[in-house]
Amino acid sequence: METVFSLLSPLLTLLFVIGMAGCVIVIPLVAFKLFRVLFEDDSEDETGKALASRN
Amino acid sequence: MDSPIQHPASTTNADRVRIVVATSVMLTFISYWRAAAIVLNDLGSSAFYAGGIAEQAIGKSAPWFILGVMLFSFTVRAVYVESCSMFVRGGVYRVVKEALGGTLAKISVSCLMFDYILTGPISGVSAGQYIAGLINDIFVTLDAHGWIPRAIHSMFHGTPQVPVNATSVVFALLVTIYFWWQNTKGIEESSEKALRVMQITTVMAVILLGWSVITLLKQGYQHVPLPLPQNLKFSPESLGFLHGTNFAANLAQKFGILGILIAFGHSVLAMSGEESLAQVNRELAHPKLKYLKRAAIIIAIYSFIFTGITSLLFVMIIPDSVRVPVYKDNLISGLAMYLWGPQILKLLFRGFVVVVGFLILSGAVNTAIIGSNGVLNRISEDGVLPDWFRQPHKRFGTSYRIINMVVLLQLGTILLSGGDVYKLGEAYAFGVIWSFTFNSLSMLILRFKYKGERGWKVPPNITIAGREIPLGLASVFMVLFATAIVNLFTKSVATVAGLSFAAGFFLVFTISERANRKKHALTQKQMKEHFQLTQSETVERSGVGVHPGNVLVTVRDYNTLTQLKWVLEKTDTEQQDIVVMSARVSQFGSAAYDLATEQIFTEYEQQLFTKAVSVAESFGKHISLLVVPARDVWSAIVQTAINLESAAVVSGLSSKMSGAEQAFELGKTWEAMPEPKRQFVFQVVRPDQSVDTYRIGPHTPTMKTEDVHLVHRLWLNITRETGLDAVHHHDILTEALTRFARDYAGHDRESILKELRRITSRHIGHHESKRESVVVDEHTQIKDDGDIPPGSQ
Repeated sequence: METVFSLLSPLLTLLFVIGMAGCVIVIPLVAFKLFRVLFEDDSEDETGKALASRN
Repeated sequence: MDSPIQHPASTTNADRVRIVVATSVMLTFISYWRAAAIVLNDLGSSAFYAGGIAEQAIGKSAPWFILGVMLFSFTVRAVYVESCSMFVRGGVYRVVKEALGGTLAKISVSCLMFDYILTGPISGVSAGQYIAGLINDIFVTLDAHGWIPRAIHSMFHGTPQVPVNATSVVFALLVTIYFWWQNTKGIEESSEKALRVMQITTVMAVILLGWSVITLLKQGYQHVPLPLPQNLKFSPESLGFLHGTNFAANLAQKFGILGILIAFGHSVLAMSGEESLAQVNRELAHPKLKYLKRAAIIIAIYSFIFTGITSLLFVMIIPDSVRVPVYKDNLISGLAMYLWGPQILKLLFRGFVVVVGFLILSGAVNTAIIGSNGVLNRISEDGVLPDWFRQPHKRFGTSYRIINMVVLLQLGTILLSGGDVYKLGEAYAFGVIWSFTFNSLSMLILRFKYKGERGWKVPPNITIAGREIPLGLASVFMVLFATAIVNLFTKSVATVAGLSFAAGFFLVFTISERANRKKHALTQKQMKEHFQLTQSETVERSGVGVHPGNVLVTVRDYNTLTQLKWVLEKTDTEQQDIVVMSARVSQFGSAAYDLATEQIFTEYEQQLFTKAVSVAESFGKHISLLVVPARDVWSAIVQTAINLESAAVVSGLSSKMSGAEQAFELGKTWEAMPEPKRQFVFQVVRPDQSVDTYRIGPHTPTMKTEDVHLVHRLWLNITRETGLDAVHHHDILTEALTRFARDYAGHDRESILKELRRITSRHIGHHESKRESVVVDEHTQIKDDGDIPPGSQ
């Protein structure tokens, strides 16, 4: 178990660091895009077309 | 009992019975606030135990990791928003099946089931911990004031104390059994209840945060160590399989970023409950995607503050000497006890915290049963579980065997845990992290596999050489995957339990699927020979092939078709069509999943309609057949009656409620429907063939003889007055009602209600003693809509 973990741990750490670095950008972008929607008017959903094909 | 129709071995199209299968589930749509409340009932409940579990695992810097997980949950939620924008009926199973195929979909569902099975026990046990902790602290307070009788004092050899873990187990068992019974009877999922619980929780959260700020200003605070490797203090349990290895020997030096990853893994259970977002998406009102995004951001902000900020406050305010030793399993209670202010106020607030905890955690127990029931129903419809599981309860019509299995697993888990919240939390995280990992991997693959449009994509996405690279999705997947793998090593209990459970479920799924494949092929063949299934997105009168003013007969149990026989006796089918309808109710969890035609019209419906056709043939009359999937039976009936322009709806007497209650539910649902809608007559046929008739929608009330005479006497008196000889009887009624409405809206409301209650209680007594006279003329013919029965408008 220790051997397997010692082999995997550098890769897992690298994945985690790269992923977290990406998430540092994702989180504020997502927060901004979703927060903006709270203040939009309740008009027709302009991307409704995209839903139709898979509903 | 009539024998089913015997069909020849081969049949022609002309011999087959036509059945319209509506494939679009009839739903009542909800606002984004209600959707957020439903998700937060699951997600928000983890605030009651996540902090304590994380701190036991990694030490005092745990709050930063909880906060980090709550921030990270923004990204996980974004993945769910993207999947919901692609599949309205989404969820892990659907997404993984599309991207990775059936085998991995079954594995992912096994992990999801593990998540659900553990949600109930951890919520129930956690609620029990809060209650037991409160009881013990009340005893301590009473003893401090000398209010405990000496006899009790000596019996307990000191201050009376309940055994916390044992009490939690008993409480969790009782709550689970209670919700087992409610789900067996088929309680309706209510977004109203979820909203109320979240409103009360918000009140508690606002008081807690505000009072905590005052406490910080008055008393100062304890420093929360930063989330650095040197500040991590792993317990032996939190290292799992790594305990006793060289890794453990020099933690601070060896671990570094890996230590941060391990600590993150121990905090991941704080973001459980995201799957509920996919399930609730289907019921969101239009504009769906916009409302989904709003629900997502509301959930994000709420959970960040409630779960994230309060976990910081735990460490800042509760002294180290008691926080983990005493309050590790009921930290919010502990926080309440160390706020600045008089002891009695703190105790009262703590009581409020326990009540809120009971509401939200009990709700999570119920959601876990409903969700897992829904998932397993969906799986069994695919033939992945033996059909035996899907057989409905004879009395309540629910999938009671699936519910029994889920609850038995939960009860076993509660007993095995012995009330240990840490052990439950550790195991819980397995299901949480792996279902998220499968979901994000599938969404990443679908970026390349699925070429259609999406309403939303997880940002950022960059285009290189004409190819879009999903950087955001890839980042989320990498973090989840790394965390999931690390957790396999550091959470030994979770790994062993989770892998065993997943393997066991996967084995059952696979064996059942193979066994059912042959059986279903034969059933499908027989079904195709006997029935012609016509698929229709919605229920339309032209699609069913009936005229307006038809009679809609609802059926559920093929052993109880009294209402159909009564309708067939009374109805001239040359003048009026009969439509026999079965509502296939899909519960909260399974409403998210796609139901194909063959899954709506199952072997059960086949038996039911075979019997219905047999009864109709014995009368020599034609009936039309319809299957409608729905979340809620009342809206299915009302929407169908409106769409088909039915004059009457006829049902049998429910085992759960009286005819009047059935009519009330229908009426309530009818009121909530948008225009255009039409009134109809609702008739309940009892087993003895006596009938109660109700009118759904606005209608002329049946007037008592004395009321008619009163109106006439008033008319006689009023028309004697000068200038009022043109007054009619209806003018008097109009004036009386206008005055009544004015008085009711004004100061006389209470006295009016008191009088109406008095009148109604007389009616109930009258109904019980004179049942037969209440029943409307059972020989009343069901009229075509153009020929309205007497007494109605």
